[in-house]
Formats: sequence, C-alpha cells, structure tokens
Amino acid sequence: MQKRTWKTNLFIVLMLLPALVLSLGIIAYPMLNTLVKSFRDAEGAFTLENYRFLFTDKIALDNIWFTFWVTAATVLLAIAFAYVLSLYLRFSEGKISRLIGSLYLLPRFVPTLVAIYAMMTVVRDSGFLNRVSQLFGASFKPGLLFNPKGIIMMNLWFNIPFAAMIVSASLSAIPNSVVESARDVGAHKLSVFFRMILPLSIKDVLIAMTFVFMSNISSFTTPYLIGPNHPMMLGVYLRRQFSTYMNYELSAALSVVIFLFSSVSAVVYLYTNLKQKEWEKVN
Amino acid sequence: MKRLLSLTMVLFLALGLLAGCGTPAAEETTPPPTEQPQQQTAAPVETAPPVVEKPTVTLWTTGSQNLSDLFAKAIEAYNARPESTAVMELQFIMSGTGEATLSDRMAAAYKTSQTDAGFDLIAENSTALQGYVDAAGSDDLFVKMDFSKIPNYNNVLIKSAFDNEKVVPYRGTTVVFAYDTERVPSPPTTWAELTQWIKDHPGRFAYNVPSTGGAGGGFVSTAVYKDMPVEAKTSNDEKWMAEWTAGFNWLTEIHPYLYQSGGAVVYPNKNQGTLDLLINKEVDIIPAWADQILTNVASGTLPATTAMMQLGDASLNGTDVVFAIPSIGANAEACYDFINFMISPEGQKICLETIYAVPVIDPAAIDSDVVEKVLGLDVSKFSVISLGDLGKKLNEKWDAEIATIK
Repeated sequence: MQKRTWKTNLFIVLMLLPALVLSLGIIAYPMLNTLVKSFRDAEGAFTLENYRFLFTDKIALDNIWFTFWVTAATVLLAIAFAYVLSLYLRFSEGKISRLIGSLYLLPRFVPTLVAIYAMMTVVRDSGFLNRVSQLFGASFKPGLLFNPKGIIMMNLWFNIPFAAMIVSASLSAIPNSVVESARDVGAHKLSVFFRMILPLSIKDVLIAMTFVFMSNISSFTTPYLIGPNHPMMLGVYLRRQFSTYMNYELSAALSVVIFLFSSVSAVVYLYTNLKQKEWEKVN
Repeated sequence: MKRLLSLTMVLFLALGLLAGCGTPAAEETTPPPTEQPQQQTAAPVETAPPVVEKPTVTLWTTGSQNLSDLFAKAIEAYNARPESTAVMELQFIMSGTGEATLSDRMAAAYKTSQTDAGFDLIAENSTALQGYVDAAGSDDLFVKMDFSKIPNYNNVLIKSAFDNEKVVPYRGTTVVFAYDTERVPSPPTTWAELTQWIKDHPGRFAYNVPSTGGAGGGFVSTAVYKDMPVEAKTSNDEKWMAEWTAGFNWLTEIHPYLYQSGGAVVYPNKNQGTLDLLINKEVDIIPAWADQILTNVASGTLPATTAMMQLGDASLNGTDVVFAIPSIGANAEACYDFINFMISPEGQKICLETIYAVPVIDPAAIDSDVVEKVLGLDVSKFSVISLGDLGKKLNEKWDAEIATIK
C-alpha cells in the first residue's frame, strides 16, 4: 500500500467534512442545546426543577414506570419468540420452514402507520374479529386497543422479525459439524442446546435485545394510536409536554432522561461487543 | 502536515458550530414562515406602482382536512375570477401536526417585529383569537378592519364573539351531540337527563381527549362552565379556576360509565376518534362538530338516521369563524377583496357545500339545495366560550385529574 501523503490526508478530511459538519450541526449541537436547556427554567436561569418534577410528580413517575415495563415486556417476549422461530428455521428442513423463512421478514416492509391501522381494523372491539364472531351469534371483544396489551402486541409485530433476523444470522454461523460431533459423543439434545447453541448465540441475542429496547423505549406512533390515556409512554408524554403545553424546558429534561435510558442499553451493547473479542482470543 | 490537519479541524469545527447555531435557533423562535413567505410576499412589495399585476395575499389557517379542502376550493374560485384584485395563497397547518404553532408562529413574528413574515390574513375560530392575543401579549396583534372596503359586510347577520371591529365572520360552527335515532329513540334533553342516560347505558357515551380536538374540548368546557357566571365564559382570568370544581366533579362522576375497551374507560384521541366509535356503533351518543357529522352523513359513513341535538339548559359551545388581519401582515388593503368574496352568496355557497358551514348571511340568499341541512343551527344562538390561555390550563387539569382516574 502506498504511504499516505499530506494530500491523501487532506483528501480524506475533505471527504469526511460534509458528514462531520452535518452530524455536528444536526446531532451534536441540538443535543448539547437540549442538555443545557433541561437545566434551565422558562426565564433561562439554572434550575434542577425539571428533573425534580420528572422524578417526583405522580403522573410523570407513572409514565416512566409504564414505559419501562412495556419496553421490558416487549424485549423479553420479542426475543423469546424470535429465538424459538430462529431455532426452528435453523434446524428444521421442511417446506414449511423454508416458506416461513422467506416470509417472516415481510412485516419489516409494511410502513408503521399502515400496519397499526391494519391491526386496529382487525382487533378493535367492533373490528374484523368481532364481526366474524357475530356471524356465529357471539360478540367477541378482544379488548386489545387503548391499553398496554395492544402496545406490546403491536411492538411484537414489528420486533420479532427484526430480532429473528439477528438471531438467525448468529445461529446459521454455528457449523453443523459442531452440533453433530456433540451428538456423536452422546450429548443429549438439551445439553447441546444449553452448552453449545445458547452460549454461541447469546452475544447476538443480547445485541438484538439492546436494539429492540432502544427502538421501543422512545416509540411514539404505536402508543399514540393504540395506547391508553394514562399512563402514557414517554414518547407520547414528551409530545404532549412539547406541543400541547409548550413546556420546552421540561421537554428537554424528558428527552435527556429518555436518552439516558437508551444509553444504558448502548453500554450493554458495547460491553457485549468487547467481551466477544476476549472470548475469541481464548479460542 | 500536522498543522494543516489541525487547521482544517478548527475550520470545520467552526463551520459545524455555525451550521449548528443556524438551524436550532431558527427552530426555536420562528419556524418556516420566515423563509417561505419571502417569495410569496415579494410580489406586493415590488409591484407597488400602477402595474396591473395583482398583489399576493397569504392566508394562514389551521384545522382538519375539511378546512384545507374548503380553502383550496374557495381560493381556486377566487383566483379564477377576473375581477378579483389579489392573488390568494394558502398556508395550512393540519391540526394535531403542530396546531398550537399558528398562534405561536404569529406570536414569535409579532414579538420580533417582523412585518414581512407573510401573515397577511388568518382564518380562525373567534373563540380561539384571545389565545393568539395572549400568546403575542398585545391587543395590537390584529388591526381594525375598514368595513367600507367590504361592502358585503352589510349582509352579515351575526356578531362575532371576538372584538367586532377587528374581525369578519364568514361561517359558524358548533359542537353538538350526535346520535342515531334508531338506537336512541328518545334522547336526553337536559344535562340532568344526560347524566342519567349515561349511567343507564354504561359504555355507550364517549368524548375525545379535550386537548386533541374541539369536540371533546367543547364538551368539557361546557360541562365546567355551564353553571358559572356568564362573564367567566369569555374571561382568561385565572381566578375562575377556583370554580371549576363542580364541573370536574361531574366529569369524574360520569367517568366510570363512559366507553370502555379492554376493561378500562378510554377517551379517544382527536375528534375523529369519537366519530369512529359512533360510525362503528360502539357508542350511541357523542359530542362532535356539526359540520363533521353532516359531512359523514353525506358521504354515507354515518347512517341517514343520524341526528344532532343540544341540551335545553346549556348548549355545547359553538363559534363564529372569522377572518382577521394581523398587524404584522404586508398588505392589509389587499385582503379586503377576498374577505368580501367569502361573505358573498357565492363564497358562502362554497363554504356550505364543501364543509356544511353555517352561513353568516341570510340562507335564503344562497342558491344551494343543502342549505336546509344547516337551518337548525343558528349562529346567533351559539353558546360562546372563549378562555384564551386559560383553555390550556383547563386541558392540563383534565389530563391530570380525569385521564388518570383508575
């Protein structure tokens, strides 16, 4: 390879410049601006009041707690379903498994709003399911809208394919020979799973979890359309503080809080990635 | 080489800072209007003298899609007339996507003394205008009209709920109770009867979250203000907050009997949310805007047996919808001709046929076969509630006290 001259360096800098300026301008600066604003009152004086409010006000606390458990439930359920689905796709070789294998990503290609309205049309209390049940003389009301059940169900619809995509990739990287040799020396199916497959895929499972967590903790569209009036998820609460009450400083503080929650999972993500490298070294 | 590198670093850090400062600062104070209208308002400034070219007037308004349709149609008709003396352009803010910001944007432009920000003319509910004045912090936000330049104003039969020297009403609209006569053969006629009806029919009444749409907002403010002194209804004085208790107690009382889904009471978001419930027969009575009910009946989504009513002891609030000329507009004179057009029989016909607006002139003067549908809605009998900034507090209290009931 050619040795770098100052010209190539300049060239590299020039190539990176637009992206850097853009990210400084539209990401770094507004973030700093938000951080500063979150410590100010409406008159611009320094205050911790915004944070104090968020962690003492009954409604705000309800919302934070609600957001947490809805997100946690989404993450755990999505990963559980995705893992089972991926295992099936990896180790079953029927027509059905191939069909599912080519179809399971489809939900990723349906736009969010369309998917949510489609789901609402089907499961609302006067929706498709209800009308079908009326044909049989019953009136089945799923009761899934406007409560956490609905949000979690919709989140699963979006996130299972995504998580399955990551986990599948990880499972298909496990060579058949590993599994076969273990079976050859008499390992039980369960012990193959717990001692080989799970340890070999756990890193990607954790990564999938962090991604699902991050995209759901700040979700807006789903909880706005099918969530309850109270408690509400932080994304909806943020919009209300910002657009309805025009409480900009509190909104800034709320944004920072959401950002901190997200960074917890970012830390997990980085940590898992670093760990992987050491694990590889041992091998 | 190192020096060169660090120099470039410094350069683009500075650049980034500049770029950074540019964007968010603009966001905070005055959003789009400052940039967009520049080309729009350029015309009147440049073409001052005798040239025949018509000045451009930008009309700002906010609301649901039906309003956007209305003004698209009205402006098309107006611009097509050879005798029109201006060229109209529409800036529309869809409610729910930044509704609060029309008053905000104007307040920002007003406070920074921008006269070329393109707010030439606005169309808004007269009951909302106090909120604009409150946001800008000055009564001078709107100019006094020169009625001699609006000859058709003589035919306008109603008085506005806002300062009549500064506005011209062009239509009326009101919140009503909508129900299906087949499912509710004998609807309640008083608030006491409504209370009883709601309790007798659990789950069959719904109103939308007040901050998300005027129908629920109208229902809540009427429920809270109906037994308060008359002067309270048009006051933004916070002393009245002390008297909200009775109304909120009533809202709490009916809460358990409202529409439920999944075992809990649900308040839908937006006017459309409750309309959907009525359309899907999930509830039987809802507060809704009269024009939205009529539009849905006309399009067949609501059955022809749908009826509208008011309760005898206190009507849900209605409002006249007006044109007002902001003092920060570029060309007040050019606005009058369009206003005059909108209150002419021709303009009124467009309003009536596009969104079933209640006319502000004698309905007999309008040549249209849908006029009978709105005859029952008399603007002069509308119950007016105009709270200015206090309306926001009312919504906030509702969010905190009613939405949170377990």
